[in-house]
Amino acid sequence: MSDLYKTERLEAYDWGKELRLKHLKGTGTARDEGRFLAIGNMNFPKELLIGLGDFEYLAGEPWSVSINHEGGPELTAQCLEEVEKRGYSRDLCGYMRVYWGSMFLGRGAWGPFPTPDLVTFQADCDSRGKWYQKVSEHWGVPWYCVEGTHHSVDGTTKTKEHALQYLLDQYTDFIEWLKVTFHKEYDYGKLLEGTANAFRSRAYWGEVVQLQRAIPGPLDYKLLLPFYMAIEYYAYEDECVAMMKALRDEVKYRVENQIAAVPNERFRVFHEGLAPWYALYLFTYIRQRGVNILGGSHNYNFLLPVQKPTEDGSFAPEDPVNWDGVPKTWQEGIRFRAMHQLYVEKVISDTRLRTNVLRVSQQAWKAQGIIFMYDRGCEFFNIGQTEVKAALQKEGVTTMVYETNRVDSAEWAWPQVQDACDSFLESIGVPQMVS
Amino acid sequence: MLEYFVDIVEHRHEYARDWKERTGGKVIGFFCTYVPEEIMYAAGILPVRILGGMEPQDYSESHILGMYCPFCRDCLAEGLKGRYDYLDGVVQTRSCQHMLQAFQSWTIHIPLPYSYFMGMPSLVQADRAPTFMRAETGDFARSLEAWTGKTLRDEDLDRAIETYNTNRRLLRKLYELRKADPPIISGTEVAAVVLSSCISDKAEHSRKLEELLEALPRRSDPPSSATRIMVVGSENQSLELFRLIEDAGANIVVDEMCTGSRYFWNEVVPQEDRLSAIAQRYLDRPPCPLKDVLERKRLEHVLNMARDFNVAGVLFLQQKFCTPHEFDIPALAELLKENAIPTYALELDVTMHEGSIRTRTEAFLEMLQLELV
Repeated sequence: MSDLYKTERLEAYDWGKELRLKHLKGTGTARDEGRFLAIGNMNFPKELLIGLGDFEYLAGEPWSVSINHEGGPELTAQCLEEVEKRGYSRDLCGYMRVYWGSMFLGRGAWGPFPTPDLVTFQADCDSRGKWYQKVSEHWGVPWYCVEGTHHSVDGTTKTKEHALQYLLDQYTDFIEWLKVTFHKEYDYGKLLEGTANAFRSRAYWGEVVQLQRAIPGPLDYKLLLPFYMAIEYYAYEDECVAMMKALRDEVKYRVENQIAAVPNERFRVFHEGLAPWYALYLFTYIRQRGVNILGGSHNYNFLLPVQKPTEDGSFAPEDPVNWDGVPKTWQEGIRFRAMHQLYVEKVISDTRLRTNVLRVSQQAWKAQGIIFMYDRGCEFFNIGQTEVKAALQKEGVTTMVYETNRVDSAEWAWPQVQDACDSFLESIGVPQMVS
Repeated sequence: MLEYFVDIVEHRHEYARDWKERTGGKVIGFFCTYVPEEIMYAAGILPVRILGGMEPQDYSESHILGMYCPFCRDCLAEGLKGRYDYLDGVVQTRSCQHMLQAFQSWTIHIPLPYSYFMGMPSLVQADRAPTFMRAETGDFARSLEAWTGKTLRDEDLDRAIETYNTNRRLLRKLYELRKADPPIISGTEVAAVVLSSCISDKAEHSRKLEELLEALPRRSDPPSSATRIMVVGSENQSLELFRLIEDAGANIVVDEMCTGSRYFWNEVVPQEDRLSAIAQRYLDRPPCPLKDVLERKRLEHVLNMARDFNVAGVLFLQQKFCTPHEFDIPALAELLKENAIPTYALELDVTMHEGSIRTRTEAFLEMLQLELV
């Protein structure tokens, strides 16, 4: 298949990968280097830790991906077996099982599982509260849990003021707890810097996501990976802001100059759900047919991560990124963070809202079809997955479904997925491959 | 006497239809026992817990993934089959994701005049939880007022609280009778009493329960002596399951389930602000494992119950894929083992595999008898 567009290497991609490794590997050296080590789930509001001093954060989800991706199948299998041996069911959260196994075995992808100074977590999905309850019991170090669930499913992005206040109160309680537990001064200036940085990172990312609407797409599924993770992991850092700005500039350049991620891009699809990390060749298989997997709501961190909910609860992805909202006080900063948390949680949990988000996005990004991953390793991202698929299918959107577990390759059936891919691609008009 | 309760369980839809006809009131289905029923009752509504039908079905498969628990899929299937066609509304609170999905699919495919989703803290033991829960109960009350056109006065809430508390006190009395060996009432019979409470008018239920409590000491056919066991888990909507377990040679003398003791164990403690009192009751109740994050109260609660009711073993009745309970089972099993109480886990699906359940239960009971020897 001949190329339609020119392509160039994405310079920011290497930066994204390096930053990821710097943080993951940094968890092993942080304490020796005089930084404290906190562990917990990725979407915990880590900005709140900044005021306590320099730290590294071991985020459970990317840690599990690193076991899967860099540690390899053997280490992953050992981790999973270790958890099963202790009586835990195989259908529990895939990330959690790998992480627990790594913790119980005391081994990670690059060395020992590091000993933390504290455990901080956010109970939002059904697994994360119980996941880190076990982690805190395992380490016996100070721990703190905040809540991050949204509390309505009305099909809109509205948040009740008392729900927002509930979260904000927990954030300020957590800060007080840090001061008392670690007998240290808390630097609110740093907190403001961190929350403002997180806002800027997300705003740049919001622009990138909008730029991805262009034909040809400046990015593809693989190129999105280090960045959407950065937004959830270390968006509060100066370096992340700098990286995201560089990415935005580079992507803008690519759009202006028709530089494609997939040089023979003839088709565009969304992928809903996270990737099976042990089988990323799935994406290569689709890409080489001239199909750009543009990402999906998860890869875009739910598309408009910097937008405040509108008064009437409507959702408009064409809205420009709201740079006016950069927080000027730490109070504004944590308020923004809490709103972001509730917004993301709502889009995941509220089936009607997610259907609307995806409907609008699929049209705006000109995706000819949507691939839904039914993830046996995550109940959270499966809320409404079948309903969203059915609703869009009914409206004429071509869809494909494959079921697996994002980290447990025992549940992967490539011939079956390949067949499903072939049928799906054929149905959106992709010519068959000549063997 | 017990037939009354069994009849309600087995003919729950007929009961609700009849209630509606008799009273002219509205009926609301709720999915989880964290929904504060008192507020609905105060508004003249009959709250009924939505239960599954335990029949082979493919109604819910295209709406809820197979990795979600059979109970949530079964509840939705009952709705899609039209079994709950008398409902005027459905309510759910923020409990687990599986029931959240069942609720959402219900509201999408079975539109009703009223539906409401109430926020509920995940961290029920947190200092900030009462304020948030109070705000949410207030919103729920206002929503009901707007829908029914009835203002909820303190007298209405007091009446509902007292009706519910009375029922809870009576159920606790019934459980106390199970401490005797052999107990005066079987686990299957008690399950019928508690399940019927979840789906009927509490005032009516309490009247019948009082009569039962009065009559029980004179009972001529009490259960025979058998191995005393406790059952622990989420939902069990089947009297047949309990019957199977007891027929295998056990007396189920206590439970820690949301269709059992967790449903009624604690009362509303009166406060000047009635909605605060109701909110606090739901925060303080014996927690579902999902809500038991900060303090791990549940482990101690189960152990204390097992001791108080002098059980020889604990049977986990695990709804397949029920994540919160899957998290707690290893910790509970370990704690009970440390206290010389053996455990065994039975996995439940939409339909019941009678032979498998009987064989496994018999094996467990044989093991317990050896332990007792």
